[in-house]
Amino acid sequence: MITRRKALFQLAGGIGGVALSDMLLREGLLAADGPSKPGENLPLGMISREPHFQPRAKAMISMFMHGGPSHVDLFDPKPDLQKNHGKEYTGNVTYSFVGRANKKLMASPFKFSRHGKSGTELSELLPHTAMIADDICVIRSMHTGHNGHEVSIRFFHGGIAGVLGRPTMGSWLTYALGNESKNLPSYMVLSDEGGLPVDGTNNWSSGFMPAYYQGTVLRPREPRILNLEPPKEVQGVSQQRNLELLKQLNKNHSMLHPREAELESRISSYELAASMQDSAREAFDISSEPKHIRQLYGIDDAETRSYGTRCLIARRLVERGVRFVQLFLSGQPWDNHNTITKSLSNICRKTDQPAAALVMDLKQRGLLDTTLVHFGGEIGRLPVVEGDFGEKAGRDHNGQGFSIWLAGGGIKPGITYGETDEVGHRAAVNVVNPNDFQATIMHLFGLDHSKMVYFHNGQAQVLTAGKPARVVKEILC
Amino acid sequence: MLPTFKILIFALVLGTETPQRLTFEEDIRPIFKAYCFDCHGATEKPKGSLDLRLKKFAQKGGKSGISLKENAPEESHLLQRIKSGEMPPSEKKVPAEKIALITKWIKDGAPTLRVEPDNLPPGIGITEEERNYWFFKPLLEPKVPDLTLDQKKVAPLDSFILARLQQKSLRFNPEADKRTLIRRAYLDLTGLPPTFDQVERFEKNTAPNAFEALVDELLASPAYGERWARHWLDVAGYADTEGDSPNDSLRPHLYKYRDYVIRSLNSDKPFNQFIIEQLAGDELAPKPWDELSLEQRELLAATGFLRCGPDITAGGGAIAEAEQTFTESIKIISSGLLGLSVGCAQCHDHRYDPISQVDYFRFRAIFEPAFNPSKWRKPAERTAALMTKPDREKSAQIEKVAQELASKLQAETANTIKVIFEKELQKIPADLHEPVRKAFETPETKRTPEQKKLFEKYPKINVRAGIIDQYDPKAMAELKKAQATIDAKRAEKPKEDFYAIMSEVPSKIPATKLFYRGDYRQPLQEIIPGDLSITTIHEQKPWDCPTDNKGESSGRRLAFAQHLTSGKHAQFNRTMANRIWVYHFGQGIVETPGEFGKLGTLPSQPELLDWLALQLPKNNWSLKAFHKIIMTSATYRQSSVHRPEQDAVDITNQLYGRFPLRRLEAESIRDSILKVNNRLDETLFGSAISLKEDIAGVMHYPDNTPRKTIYMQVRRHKPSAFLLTFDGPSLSPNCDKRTPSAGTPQALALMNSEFIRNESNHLATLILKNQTNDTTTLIRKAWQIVYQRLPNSNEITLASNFLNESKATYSATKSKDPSQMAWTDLCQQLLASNEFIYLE
Repeated sequence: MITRRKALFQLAGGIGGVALSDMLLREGLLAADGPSKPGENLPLGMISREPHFQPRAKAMISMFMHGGPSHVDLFDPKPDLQKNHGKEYTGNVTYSFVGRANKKLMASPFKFSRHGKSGTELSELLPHTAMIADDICVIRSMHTGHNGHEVSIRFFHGGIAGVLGRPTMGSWLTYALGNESKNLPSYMVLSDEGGLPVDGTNNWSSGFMPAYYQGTVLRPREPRILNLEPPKEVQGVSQQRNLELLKQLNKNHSMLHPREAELESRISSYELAASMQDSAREAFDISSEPKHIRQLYGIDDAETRSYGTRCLIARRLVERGVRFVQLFLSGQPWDNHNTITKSLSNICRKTDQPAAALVMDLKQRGLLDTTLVHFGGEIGRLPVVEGDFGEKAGRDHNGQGFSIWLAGGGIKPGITYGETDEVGHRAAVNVVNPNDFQATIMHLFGLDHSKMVYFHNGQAQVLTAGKPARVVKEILC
Repeated sequence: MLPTFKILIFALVLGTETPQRLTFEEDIRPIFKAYCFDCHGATEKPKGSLDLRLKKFAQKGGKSGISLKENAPEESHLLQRIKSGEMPPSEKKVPAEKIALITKWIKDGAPTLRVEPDNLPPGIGITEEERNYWFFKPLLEPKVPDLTLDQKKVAPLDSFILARLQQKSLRFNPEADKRTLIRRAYLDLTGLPPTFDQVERFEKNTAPNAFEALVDELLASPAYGERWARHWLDVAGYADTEGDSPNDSLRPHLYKYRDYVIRSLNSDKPFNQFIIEQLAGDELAPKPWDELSLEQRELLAATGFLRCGPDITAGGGAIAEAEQTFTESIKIISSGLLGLSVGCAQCHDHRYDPISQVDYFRFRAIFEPAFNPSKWRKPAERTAALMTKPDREKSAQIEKVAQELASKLQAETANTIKVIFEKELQKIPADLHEPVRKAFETPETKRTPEQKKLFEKYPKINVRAGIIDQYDPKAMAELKKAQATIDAKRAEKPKEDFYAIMSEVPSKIPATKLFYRGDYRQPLQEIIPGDLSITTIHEQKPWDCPTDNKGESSGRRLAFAQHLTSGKHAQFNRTMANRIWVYHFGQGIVETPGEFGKLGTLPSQPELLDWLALQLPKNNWSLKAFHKIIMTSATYRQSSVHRPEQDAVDITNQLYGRFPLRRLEAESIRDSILKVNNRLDETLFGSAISLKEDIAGVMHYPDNTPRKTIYMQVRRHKPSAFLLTFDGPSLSPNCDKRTPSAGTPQALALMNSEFIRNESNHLATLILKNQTNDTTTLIRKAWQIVYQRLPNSNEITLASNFLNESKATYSATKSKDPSQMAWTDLCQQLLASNEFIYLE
């Protein structure tokens, strides 16, 4: 039986794990799945598994914001920065763009105000996020210690700054907990039709884990999932006719091989595949969503259509048992080195409403309690100006201090946590690094990050890479 | 509780019938060995002075008193401590059914099979039972059952099978029809289907030796070597990447080993020679290696076998990574060639098989001088260069010119930096110009704190080569142009080419030391090289491995390879015979081809396996002769159809009353589709063809390269989606057996993948090229191409109705070419159908 199971978990690669759990369940292998011995990996595959302790979150939607959203212009108001506009910063700054380096502080050109009962201060660029102020927890003390994009992105995804080839968060959650969904992969990536984010497909790599733990990309164009749909022309009646013919051919063949169970099960695998194809397609199709939902996400507005659609699909996926959905934008629209007043406003207009809509929608459906929502980038931006003041002014990279927000899935709502220094340069109080972030997320899923081990090349590996990492208990409810 | 009820429960707990009489040697010692010997047997001073290697010792007990009392489980301390979970102290506890066995054994008076000695030498040793485990017994000519069938004497292979069938009142299936037979032989030996003409010719050939002649013909085709090389590459764990993290670095040269395997198989190189070259080709290739002869090249390429495992030092790393790489290779060698997983004996005596930790290190010592983790060489340092002397000279000349250009560029870069710096300097207060200039000219590591402060205050003056474009993009473009010229010059060098090889560096042989708990940081006593004790236990004189250095190389691997292929090495011979059987039948005589020990399965046909194991040396190690023995047997030639009477007693076909039907391997599916489409590029050999990564990070075979799949890059971290979907080898570190499955991902790939749609389109074009409007003719053509047979009238009706309806749909939706579309759909269903992707 072991070899049979071994066979089954090799299946998924082609379409990223679709249907594996279902097959395993149907074959009654779930029960055969015992605890792993020390020094051994969990039985590989997509079998749904119990966490270490009672979880708070069942699913997570991560809106990853490549480029470094400017926290001092969005989430972290700094009166001292406003006061000292144009003055020389006395602290030590590491620049990425030395050629445009400038030590003069730049006040935020945007107004902050308090919102909701919690009174969380947010920038005028985030009018929709302001409406969910009482649902989110803003962490203002994020810190990677590295200014580079890729370095910090990899820190967030894989646990070690700058290092590639490690499994990403979704891979770890899938490895640890298996797949709940009957027809969809457990780890899905919603990419931007404009192209790949910075660091490309590394963003959803399974690293040293088998390839079926890799994030399955819901492509912006058809086929939405590899092999999940035939070419457009063949969809519908033609494909049905094709499958009918194939079934007939296979049945004729089977008649010559009575009682050959494998041939029979292959025939039924096509029926299962066809039904999976239909239900997956249904999951990605938002045309059945009512008008008020489309409005909520801004689907009919040119500016918010793209990101709104992905946020809405993310909700539909979570409803259908997908464990981890990560949304990406093309390139790195938050990397506002120039004309920050304009470029930051632009990207906020595209994302603010859909992101807030997602939280509101999950909440009204009673899903927010068990769905962790994350909004944030890999770094923030410097309080000093990049280049010269004026229309073209921007901000350079800052991995020393920045903000993200979390909501739902066991996160305390309506709070802010941690602080940066007076001007927003460095995380100063209750510093949270990506390993702490990862440990906290694992905790919400009922997992001890230090005990969820994958053995690779003879070494025990954990998401947090064996580094000190703390569960940020203060933000849990 | 009624006594019978008790027994019933007992039997339920055990899951099998309870043995009549449990004995220490047969039933209890193996449990103690697995769970207790680490502390109470393997070490010279057992913990708590309790030694469990003999019943006698257990009775004597240890510091905690009497441990075992006959007939009294309740008073047997050891049982109580196991039951309470106190022992063993590790997380791995003795399961309930084993505790039940110990209890019953004690209750029955704790019998032993034999009178126990009073003393034992230190160590676990090898017991009588272990010596007599089937796999460790010497290889003796089994008695061939003397059977006749239809007045003809049955060939030896068949008589072993038939004898067991007859015991169950079964018989062989009738011989498969000729079309099935020729397809079976083609797919088995070449991985490709025959053509319709070939089938027809074979069907018409009524000569009694027609099938034999066909087998000969196929064995002589180059496709045989490619097909069977792929099997061997699974065993070797062959990959075109190193498997290091994070890069999974490319192994650009190992393909020459793959080609060596193909050539060797095609030339029917004696299998012993094949093994010897792979383990010790370098020791056979006379040095020097600066102008490699063809013979030297072949021998060095062969050693690529020892380079197939994952080499995680490719991406950096130190001794730990080197040790791990060595360990993985030992796993491949032992499971691949000896049919034993010795890996767990690295840390402690094997818990199930008689392989001690000392044995593990004896085995390791054979390979220590080559792998040598203490003076590790990374992949790039384990090569033999193919360059000739004139090439080297030419290369040196070009490099000289390139160097001159490079120093010019360096000067220009420095000058550009200087110019930018001076410009930036003008933007800061004049009184600082001098100190800033001085700071700038001071190397970064030697700057004083005051100088560093200056840079912090005026970050823009810290101009460096890498950021020139942030100040002066034009100047940067000029510099880049100059760099491109240098690169172009260097590109003129004769192409360097290498073999990835295993060899030894002539020097003092590194000592092999036993590592405490397998930890290389805790070396203990030195160990001399040797085979596993159990493999030579029945020999008069155990094999001696050379220990001193007699020249360029230690000679250990060569001596080992010769010992292994002496013809008498029972484990090697059995392992190899079983492997070949697995590839012919899709199922093994032993179902775990890399694990013949206690953790593996027992042979379904032990006598046959031994007979086969002896056929290899008897036929001068000719693999082709071996294939022929198997393929011309009645066992091989019988039909694959199930019969109720056989299913009733032997549904899993352990007795081989039918030929087992199986799905084609991933490579064979792809190659067969390309072949029937007349698109397969049958060029032999060459460097691995790169995979294409798509936007989602999934790897694919390049569509415009219809080479055979064996020439496609094999990646450890990210294999091609096709291979993953169709049960390609899981390289961890090698693949002893592929396990075919039938799941929805395969269905979806055959329904929707770009590959199947493109190939079906090609096939439709091929068929429609026939200048006729007669659909029936075309349908017949399609059946001939895909199935190598003609369609019956029902099939013609089915297909023509399908085509009509399909064309109507595509016309209605205004498709560009409804006929082409309909035919593409039809072809796709034929290519996806079971009749095409199964070997019957």
